[in-house]
Amino acid sequence: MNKDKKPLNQFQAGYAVFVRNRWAVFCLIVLGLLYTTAIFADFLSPYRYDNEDRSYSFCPPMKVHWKNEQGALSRPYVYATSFSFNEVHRRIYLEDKAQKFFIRLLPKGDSYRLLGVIPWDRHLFGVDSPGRLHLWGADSRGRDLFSRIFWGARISLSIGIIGVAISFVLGLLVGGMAGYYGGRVDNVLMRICEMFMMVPGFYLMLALRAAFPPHLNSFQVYLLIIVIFSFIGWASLARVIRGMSMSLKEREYVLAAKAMGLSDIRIIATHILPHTMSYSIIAIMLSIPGYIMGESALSLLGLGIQDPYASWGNLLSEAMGIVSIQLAPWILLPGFFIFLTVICFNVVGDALRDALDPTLKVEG
Amino acid sequence: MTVLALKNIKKHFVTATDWRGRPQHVVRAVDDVSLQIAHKESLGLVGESGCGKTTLARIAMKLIAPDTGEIILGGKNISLLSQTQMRPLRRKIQMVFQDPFNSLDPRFTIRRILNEAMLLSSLSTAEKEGRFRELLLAVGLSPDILHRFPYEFSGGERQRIAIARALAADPQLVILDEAVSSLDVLVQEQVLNMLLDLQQRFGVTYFFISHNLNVIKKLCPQIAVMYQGRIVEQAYRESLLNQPQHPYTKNLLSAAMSYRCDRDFVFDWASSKMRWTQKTKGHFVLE
Repeated sequence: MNKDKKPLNQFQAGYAVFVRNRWAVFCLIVLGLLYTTAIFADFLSPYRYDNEDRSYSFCPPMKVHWKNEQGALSRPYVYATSFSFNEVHRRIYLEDKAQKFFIRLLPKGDSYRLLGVIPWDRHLFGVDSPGRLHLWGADSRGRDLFSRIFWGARISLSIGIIGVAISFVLGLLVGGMAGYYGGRVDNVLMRICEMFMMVPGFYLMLALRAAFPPHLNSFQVYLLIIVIFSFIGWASLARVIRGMSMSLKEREYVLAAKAMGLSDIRIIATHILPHTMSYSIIAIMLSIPGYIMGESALSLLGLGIQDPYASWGNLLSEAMGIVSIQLAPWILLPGFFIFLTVICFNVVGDALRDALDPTLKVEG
Repeated sequence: MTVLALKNIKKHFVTATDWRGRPQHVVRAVDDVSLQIAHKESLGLVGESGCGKTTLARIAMKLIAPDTGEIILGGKNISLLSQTQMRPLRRKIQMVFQDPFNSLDPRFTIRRILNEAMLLSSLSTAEKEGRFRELLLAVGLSPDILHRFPYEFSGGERQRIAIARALAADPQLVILDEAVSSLDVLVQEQVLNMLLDLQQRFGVTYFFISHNLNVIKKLCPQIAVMYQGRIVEQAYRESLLNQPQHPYTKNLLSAAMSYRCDRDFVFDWASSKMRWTQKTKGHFVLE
């Protein structure tokens, strides 16, 4: 080893531990991909979330063909789909071999604004109309599930991040102050925290949602859900941060800062909260899945994001009936994505805890 | 001129209460202590661990509120001031803590540590930079270390940084709470010499707290002896060291004992490849 090498700080050392956990790195990459697809959902998906064609209601996933009728390799294509009714008047979809639609790159389609600014109407791939491409099938109204899952990722994944950000600001602030001032301030703030922690989260969420008018537009509902989750989530964090700041305020550098005449807010912000950072990062990672699941639960019950907007939760609400699951099992796919995201966040969070929490490590 | 005067300071800690909240056991950390520190007449406070020295220092800094008593800083009674009113006066009295590994925030660079101490000053950024360099040179460190972090330094160097920080605010009085106790003897010596030097240069007065009389007598012309929360003896250095009066002081002085040896150290020095010599019987030195 090079002797002049500087000792690693906590985060550099933590990075070394983290990358050794291959499984966690893999999950982090998966999360990265999921968030990238959410950001570029409008470009990556062949249709807009509300592009519907009722003649494709519950159309099963289409088969992509790589070989033509003679068995030679060809550009990938799908056949046109037609349907007939069975004896109980359910639609039976069949491939119409007379007509094929080639899947091509950058076809024109629904217009959108890339990254919210650049107006464009080309998608990564798709088929020319009148053909339709339903890689993962369609829902009851003939909307492409593949596209809707990507669009839904925007809402489901962003609620976790934004909600966590808000509740962490609250939790750090309240916890930091309670721990630092102690005494009566601590008492009052912690009793407030306990009031929130006392009520089971899910029922508090339902009650809060019920307290607001039912007919809000989608953006308002989105904001409302974030606010509700932040409102529930900050208390447990505040309690932990309070404990840490109580022990941190006894450190001599905090006394030194006090002796130099720094204001309390400044001491909390510069000498106390930064030292709780490694814990906070872990807690953030491990609490994001809760937000995603909460949103899904609320939307599943029809209290969250409303049709035609897509979130993973309200996509799943269509899968609530046994008949639709039996006839169109592909509408359970959003559930797989919720599962995948939650697992990934948990694995990454666990690995971060191993990497950043020095109390779990053997000194040496 | 008196820099700091403490009058009848009392601080009791309740360590146990009964079920009604009435105190059952009280530690008299500081019990009716009065002290005066005159300008450029550094005062040393000696006493065993747990006798209330640190509590007294923190009371003098107004980091802990005393139960009763007055703190008079530069002729002004500060014992009733709130923390906010206290803030502009803070720079007059600074402190160096015992543990150099704990008194510097590990996430701060040296520049940020020093800058924090000068937050209330009106100097421009460039002037501050000049002052940082001056301070670091004064404590015997290179001014090029401003961008580095505390963990890159040894205990002695960190304590120098802590001293530089205390001096940054241009204080009248610096309280050194066991400031050299965690350093090894040679580094202790260097830091003490440097402190004497700085006293001349910056015109500061020290209130030096230690359990080690040897360290105190080098730095302070006046010495007070604290025992179980009370000052039991105070005098000029020469008088106290030559004619200790209180039994505790006598004990303290005689604790620096001498050793007599009545055994021979066994060492097969003839067969060693190194060049050992035997100065007196049973006492070996490598040439």
